[in-house]
Amino acid sequence: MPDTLTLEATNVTGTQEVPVKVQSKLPASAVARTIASRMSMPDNVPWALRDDSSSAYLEDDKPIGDQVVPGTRVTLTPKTHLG
Amino acid sequence: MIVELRLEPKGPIVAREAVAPADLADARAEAWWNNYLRRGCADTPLGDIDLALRPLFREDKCLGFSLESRTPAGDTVRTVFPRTALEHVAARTAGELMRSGLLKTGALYYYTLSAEGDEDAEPLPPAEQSPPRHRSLVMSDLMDRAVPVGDTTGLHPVFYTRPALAQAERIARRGVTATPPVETGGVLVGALGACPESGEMFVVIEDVLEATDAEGKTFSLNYSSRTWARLDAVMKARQHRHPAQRILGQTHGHNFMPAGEPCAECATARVCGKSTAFLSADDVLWCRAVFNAQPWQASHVFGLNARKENVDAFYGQLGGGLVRRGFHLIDPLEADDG
Repeated sequence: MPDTLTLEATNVTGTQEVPVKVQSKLPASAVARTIASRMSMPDNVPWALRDDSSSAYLEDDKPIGDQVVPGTRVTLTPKTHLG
Repeated sequence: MIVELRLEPKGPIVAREAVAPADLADARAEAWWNNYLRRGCADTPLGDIDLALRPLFREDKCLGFSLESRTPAGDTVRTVFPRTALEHVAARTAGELMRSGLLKTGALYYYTLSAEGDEDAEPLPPAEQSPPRHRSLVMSDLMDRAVPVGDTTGLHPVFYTRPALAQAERIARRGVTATPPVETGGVLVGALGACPESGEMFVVIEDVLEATDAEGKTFSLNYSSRTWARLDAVMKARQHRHPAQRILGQTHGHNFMPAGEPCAECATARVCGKSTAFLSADDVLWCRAVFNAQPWQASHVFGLNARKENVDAFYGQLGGGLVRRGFHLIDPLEADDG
């Protein structure tokens, strides 16, 4: 596993797209928060990452390097609901 | 600027939180939308605008703020935002107090704004956002055949096609038939229009995509990863043919009755004002997350009033928050429109 990973991140409506370079050992939840901050997204929302190729949510607590390969496209997705 | 929280209207301040640039993302985008995109500069990136924040005072009380910029022609343009544009900062601070046990969950709190220093405008750090893809449409052609629904005074135009409106209601009310009723919904799809004659930009809602595989409960609707994946796939396919197509907003149904007993005036009142057609706090938070810095966003909530009649409420962004507003109903666009 490389020390760092470069990912392509978008928001759910596709209005923002940012390349991010992160440490492979970081948990996916920490990477999601970093991307949310880069996109100036609200910080009182729980964020998750979806792998665009599988559509599945990445596991929050697992290192991101164990879940995706370099260059993966991920979507920053709010884990909140309409009420 | 600082948001200050109190537990009583005139009680002591229990928390103070500085407003961060990210807290102004929606307001900043709204200033861009109003003063540039809607004024004939539809291709201006947000990053090209030097915005400055000016607190607004009345008798030493900070009542809100304005975002100002200087146009290439040298004019100063500004958008004024009320205190409520920073309500989300107060809610976040209150959430922290609740987690620490200093404020009971659901308890009332009060917030005010303060600003240190003088009334000078403070430059905001630059923010990047590409101008939105749009479709060239002559707005007067649409207005000529539009029927206004509700109050649209002073707001950016929203055109809603009749089939899309019917589809929104059908999808939002689908959960009524479940036992017990559940929330159902979807996303509003269409394009931003830019008028080559007036320079105005506006919203055209042409379709609704149902949020399939979502978890609908009586009081909530949760999009799953499969929901988002399908919406993403459909939108990418559409954008391949029509690049300006985008998700413009959301619709869902509050398919439950208003809480409490009917009003004493129920039998005689002409209109029933007790309804479930409103944006809840969860809805507002969801919209802030999904449609962050998209001031053209729209929300349509379908519900019931205390007389079990169908009612609905349409919302758009104004003053940094989501406010109830009207729209213009039109027939579907023709292939040669625009």
